Amino acid sequence: MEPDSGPRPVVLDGKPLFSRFLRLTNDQWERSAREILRLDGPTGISDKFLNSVAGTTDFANNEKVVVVDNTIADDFQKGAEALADAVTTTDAALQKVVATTDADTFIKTFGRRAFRRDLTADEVKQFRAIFDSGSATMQGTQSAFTKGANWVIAAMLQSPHFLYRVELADAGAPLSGYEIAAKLSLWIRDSSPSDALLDAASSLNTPEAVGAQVEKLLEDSAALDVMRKFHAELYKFALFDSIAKTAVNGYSPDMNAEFEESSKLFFDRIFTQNLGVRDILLSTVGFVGPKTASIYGVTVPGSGMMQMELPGRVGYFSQAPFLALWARNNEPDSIHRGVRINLDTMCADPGLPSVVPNPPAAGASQTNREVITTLTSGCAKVCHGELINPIGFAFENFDGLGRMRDTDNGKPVDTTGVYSFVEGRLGFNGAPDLMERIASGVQAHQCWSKKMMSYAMERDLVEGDRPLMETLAKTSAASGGSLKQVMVALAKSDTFRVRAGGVQ
Amino acid sequence: MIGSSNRKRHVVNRRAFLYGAGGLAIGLPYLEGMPERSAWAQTNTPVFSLFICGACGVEPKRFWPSGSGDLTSLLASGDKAVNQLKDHAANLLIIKGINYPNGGPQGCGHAEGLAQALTGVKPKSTGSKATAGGPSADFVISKAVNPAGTDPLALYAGNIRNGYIAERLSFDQSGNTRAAVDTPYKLYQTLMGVAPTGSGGVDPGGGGMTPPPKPSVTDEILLRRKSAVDYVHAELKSLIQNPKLSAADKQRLQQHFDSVRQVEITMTVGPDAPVAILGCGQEGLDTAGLQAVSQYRYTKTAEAAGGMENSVELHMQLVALAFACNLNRTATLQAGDGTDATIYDVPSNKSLGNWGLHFISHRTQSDGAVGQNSTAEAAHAEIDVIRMKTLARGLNHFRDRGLADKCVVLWTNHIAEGNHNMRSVPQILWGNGGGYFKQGQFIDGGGAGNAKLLNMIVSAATGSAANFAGGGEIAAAKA
Repeated sequence: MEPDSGPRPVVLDGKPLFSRFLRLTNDQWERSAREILRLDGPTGISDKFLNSVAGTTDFANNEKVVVVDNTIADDFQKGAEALADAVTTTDAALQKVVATTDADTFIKTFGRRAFRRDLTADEVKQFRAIFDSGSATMQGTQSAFTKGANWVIAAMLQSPHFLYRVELADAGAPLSGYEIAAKLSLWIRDSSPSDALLDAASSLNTPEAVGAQVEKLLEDSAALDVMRKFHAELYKFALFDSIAKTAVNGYSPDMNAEFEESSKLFFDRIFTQNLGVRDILLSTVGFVGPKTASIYGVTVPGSGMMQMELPGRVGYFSQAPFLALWARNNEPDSIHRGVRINLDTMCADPGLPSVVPNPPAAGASQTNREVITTLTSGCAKVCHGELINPIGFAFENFDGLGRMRDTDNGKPVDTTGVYSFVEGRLGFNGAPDLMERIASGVQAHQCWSKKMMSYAMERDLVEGDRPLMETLAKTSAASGGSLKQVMVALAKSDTFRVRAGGVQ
Repeated sequence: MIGSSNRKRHVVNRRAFLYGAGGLAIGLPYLEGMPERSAWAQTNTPVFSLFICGACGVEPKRFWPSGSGDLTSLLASGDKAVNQLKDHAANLLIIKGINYPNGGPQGCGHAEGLAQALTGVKPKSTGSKATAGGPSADFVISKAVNPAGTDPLALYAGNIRNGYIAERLSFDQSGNTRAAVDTPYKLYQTLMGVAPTGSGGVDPGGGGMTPPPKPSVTDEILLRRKSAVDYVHAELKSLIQNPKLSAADKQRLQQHFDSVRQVEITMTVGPDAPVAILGCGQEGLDTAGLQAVSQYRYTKTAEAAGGMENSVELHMQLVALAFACNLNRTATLQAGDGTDATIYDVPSNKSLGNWGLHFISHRTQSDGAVGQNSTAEAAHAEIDVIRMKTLARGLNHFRDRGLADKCVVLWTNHIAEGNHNMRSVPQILWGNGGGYFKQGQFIDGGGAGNAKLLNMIVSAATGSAANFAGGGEIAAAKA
């Protein structure tokens, strides 16, 4: 059935579990292991772990998919054992983890890092027993202390207190300082808190204190990696590798890697330069490599990516990666360009087709727009007519590789359209005009805020989250509004800091 | 060949198995973590089940056998894709006319088809995020016949991160998707208890080509593991008692508890305990092929190392081993999600310029529209031949391990053909499931829902009449 006409506000119809036990993602396990074991570089062990289910939730860290089954339990177990062995090969190696030869000191110090809180007296006692067993049982040339520590490390890294970020605050009560510290650090750095953050945990009891801590964390180099991953999931960078074009003059498969790298660098710049959603939509700065330079009609010396102004290309969606990905060989894929921007940038659900339409026979002089218009005429009123096609057609002056074009099949391209914004039906002419209208409206700011809220809190969002989303969107849309400012405001909110949901 | 008629039931110890005759080329396990259950001791007649789901449908005109009835004669000659299975004709049951609950897509045919393929019920939601309206057959079977806490194997061949959908074949009781292992080498490691090998700044000192520790060291490692498992169990048990926890969180921690218990089962059997094995040995394993994908990098070329077909075959080898050794009773294997970029090197696809399977199945270079390109249609038929060849080679391992009368392998698809139609979805069964299924026949299901066929498999695998997804049977399929 054709849905009612009109705009599609941001959808908040998730079904969150409000879990109190958020299992570490594989990346979080990896970075946390490095943090608490004081390792210099990646272990690579988590590369072999089972990945959480993809595709059923917005992000792969969603509470619904970070669970423990046979396979990942096995991975965690053997990973813990491997790391314990690696840092206890010699007595000196262990001293880099914790510089002590006192068992209880080791247990308390390492345990605090691993569990992201102080250990209870009972826990210290438990681990002392494990320590003593290890000291007495383990073979090798290491000291009895190092052998005991080996067993403690192996056990702690398998503990639910390490493997889960735990929220045990009462429903409606603020999270504890340690819980906040863990939530912040695992969100922004993909890692357990540093000792310094744990030391500051007790002070994280006001929005201002939390906000100040977030501002520090956002400057950590790990934050850039996290933001890169966030945008990669949001805009589906993994698909660049799947681009395959047949007999498209100028295309070569080695462009795919540059599409991905260009996209990463674009969003890196947005984040590190304190830019925001408006800049995602309106920036004319891009990153071009030697393989993809021809798309832009420029030359790039050497083998690296070069930052440059890209005249006529306003925002990320007018750059080659997005345009080449959402294409039908050398033709623009107007439908998917429109669908992706509706879903990922506007959080507007245009509805799903109930049937797969058969394409009309293309006339000898038909433009792509004419073909698509005919193809979608059965669903033209809202889904395609008001939401999908107008956005897709705005990019008709970019072919399937992202090259600019003025004509299509001998006719001038038509990039005009009218979109049902929540502010009303507004017309535009071309992608720059469309992007300006999107950036000036509220919905794209709400959408990015929604996505970040879902990522940060590791759950689906519901209507009760709308006030915060709207508040964050205002921060985003304000003059100079940056991604970082939105993230700080999110962390300061009650929704983030207070235990939600309670017993479901 | 392992499955020779004069094969004797023999006893080997675990260490002998792991070393094998002449050693295992891909390296010996760090820990001897393989479960030591007698293959046939738990029940008199175990029935194993593997569910394979291909992608993007088939080209029906050149797929099904010509005629009906006896498969030995139908497959003996001809150019249909299923003719590639002629060596297995006597153990096959091919069924046309089986429909999914939704005859076609409501949004995304691939995700919705996957959500119905092994559940037999309509999806809970539509679109590319569609999840199932109930558990899949493998999950139900596993609950009935696997030891508590042992999950059914969930496997994936293809690029799991390079499609729109990823894994979507095996579902738990609530219809939640279960994560799939996407590399045969990881499956091998899981089955053999091999520790993950770090590739970065830490050498964990295990896995890969590292020889196994001396027995005394192994015992010490097992004691450390037991210490940790005991601790983890106690902690999880304590946490589950917390009154603040929701039912969902209790279930989450219970699943964790059960999963660790499985590891404990693995661990607690002595290193020299005898294993009664029939077909449980490393003979026939393509160790060179496993070695080739040990540093996994997906390749789009279907038959290259790391490609879709290569991965399907290696997974099947390992599942056959797992069944023969009774490491698990049931498994799923999803071959792509339909939207990844797998490219088949077949003649007609060369003419097209090497389209991905998805475009070929749509008969046009589009993810949405459906065209009428006859060369793409021919390419689809040629790809079906490749897929049936792979299936035949994979089935050889089940045959050679003596599983034909103790197993059922289902090959199906998440749609019937490239237009996302879900009527007459291919259903190819190998093995009689403990005498439950008719063999050597090509029959017409008469438009029955796939739930009935799945219910029969559940009944065969669990040894008792099931009522899966509403129950029912296809009389013509029953022995």
